Amino acid sequence: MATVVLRGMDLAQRYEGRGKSVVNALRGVSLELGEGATLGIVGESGCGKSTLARLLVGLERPSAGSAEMSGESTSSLDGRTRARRIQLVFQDPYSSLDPRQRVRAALREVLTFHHLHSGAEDQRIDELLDMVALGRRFANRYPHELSGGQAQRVAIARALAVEPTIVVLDEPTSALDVSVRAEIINLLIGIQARITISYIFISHDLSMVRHVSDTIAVMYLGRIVESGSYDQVLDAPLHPYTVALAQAVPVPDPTVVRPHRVTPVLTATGPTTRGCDYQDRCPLVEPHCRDVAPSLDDVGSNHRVACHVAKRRTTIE
Amino acid sequence: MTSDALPATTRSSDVDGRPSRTAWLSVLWRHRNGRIGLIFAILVLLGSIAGWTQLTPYPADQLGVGHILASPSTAHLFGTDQFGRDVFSQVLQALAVTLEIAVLAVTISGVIGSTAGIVAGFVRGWPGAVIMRLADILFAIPAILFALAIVSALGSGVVDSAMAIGIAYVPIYVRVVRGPVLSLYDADFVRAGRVLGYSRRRLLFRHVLPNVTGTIAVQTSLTLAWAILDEAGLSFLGLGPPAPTASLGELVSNSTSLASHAWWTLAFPSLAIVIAAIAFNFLGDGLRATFDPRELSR
Repeated sequence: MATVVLRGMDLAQRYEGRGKSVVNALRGVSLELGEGATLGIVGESGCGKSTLARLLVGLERPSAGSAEMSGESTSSLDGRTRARRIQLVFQDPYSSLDPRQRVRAALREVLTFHHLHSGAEDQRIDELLDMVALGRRFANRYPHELSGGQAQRVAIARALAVEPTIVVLDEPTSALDVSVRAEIINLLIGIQARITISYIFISHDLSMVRHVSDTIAVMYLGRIVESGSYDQVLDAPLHPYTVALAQAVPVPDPTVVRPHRVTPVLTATGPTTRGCDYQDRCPLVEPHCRDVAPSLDDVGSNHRVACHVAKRRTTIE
Repeated sequence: MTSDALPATTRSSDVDGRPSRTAWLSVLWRHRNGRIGLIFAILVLLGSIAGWTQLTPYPADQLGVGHILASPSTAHLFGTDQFGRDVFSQVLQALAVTLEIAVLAVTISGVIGSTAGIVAGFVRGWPGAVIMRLADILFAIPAILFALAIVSALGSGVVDSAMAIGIAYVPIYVRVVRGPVLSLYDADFVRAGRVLGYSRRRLLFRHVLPNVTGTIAVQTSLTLAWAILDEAGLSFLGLGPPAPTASLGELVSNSTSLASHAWWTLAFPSLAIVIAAIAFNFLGDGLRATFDPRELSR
């Protein structure tokens, strides 16, 4: 892997509600992102993906753990500097754009605020629009005059305007028409081919993540349960949860039989306090899993997995 | 792209990407109630300017400019009262007084209420909570009763009436403004602004406020209508500004005993109240449409 632009160490986030209710949205997530690389993060809703995104871009402070960007601790960066390094693209493109600001005004605000391309803002705005393959005539539109895909392109252009090292994409295609999703994905890939930029691509949809990611991390209940390169995780998944996710990708063939499905509902009591988080849904569960939580360990060439059974199997082989 | 079908919208907007200054007027005009409200409001405004500058057909207070209790005619459009005063001139002057009180009242409640609402929405924690509880307490008291109490305490006069009515409407502003500010603060585009490094001040003034000016304008117009009614109510109850300053409510109050002989002494001042109230109520309705950015580019 090339230079590491982002390193998260044991990031954790707990939300304390009224009374005793505590939600551990993130429970010790460590990750690494290389320059120009894409890290895909997958998991079902409620697994802490979006919390991770908010922590990384600085919308929230982690309750434990730390992050470094290009070797500097994020907590030492001021808002402006941090903004220049990492940007976020939201799921819903319409709500992420100020309804009273035309496209040009929104982009210009970013440029003037960060003193970028002073005097040549208009030229830069055109460039940015070109970069996201939007015609220049869109500059005079209000967000509501754009289609979902067009609005998302504007949101991407706005994120790119600060020339960030990293862009966090929080389910950037989930709110879009199926027909537009591929366009946005291809656009993101195209941008990465032209400029040096790292992505963190968050999605619940493995089929989206597989198109963009070099490395993939699978999250379950606030932890990473499996990570590795694209082919390791997707083509040879080890964790039973990853296996189930991979099989949940719809196959347009009624005769295909699914060996294992993820139990659709999380257990009402939440994660069991002892043992593996996945034990109640796991088809491979063993007595050992009920007692000891598996750690995320390397089982060879940076393929990491947090599963007793999977680890034993790989070592036997 | 999936849809390029949207027409390029250049109408009512200039090249710079900002809606032109008059675009909102055309939206207002296209709105039925807005149009009625605008016309009535202009009439009310012209009428009160005439009253204010004493450009009335006859001096409003002068006795015997016509016969006593003459019915409406070309010489006296609204007839005359029991002292031979011209009712039309009286209505114009009273309208000016009523509008002055209402505008003052709305300024008071608008400035205090909007500021408090923005603070309550943008500053989390105890300051917001304290403001809201105070507003709740005020809100629990009916506006007219509250105004009555204040006028009884302060005494009557143009400024006193305005303060009384104005303070009574503060809590409505607080609530109406706080809601959108709260939800805007959590909106993705404000979050996006935070991710872009924008300061709280910038977010408040450039992104949150422009999105609540519409709400404030609409509320102002509506409150103006209510304030006109309240002022009329206070004056009717004898708590309006003391003579010789007569507001519409006092005209109505004075003529109730005459109504059976001379309907015009009661009907025209009452009608003026209704028109003024409708004017700003409808105008508020139309403004609501104006401040929807969707309408600006239609």
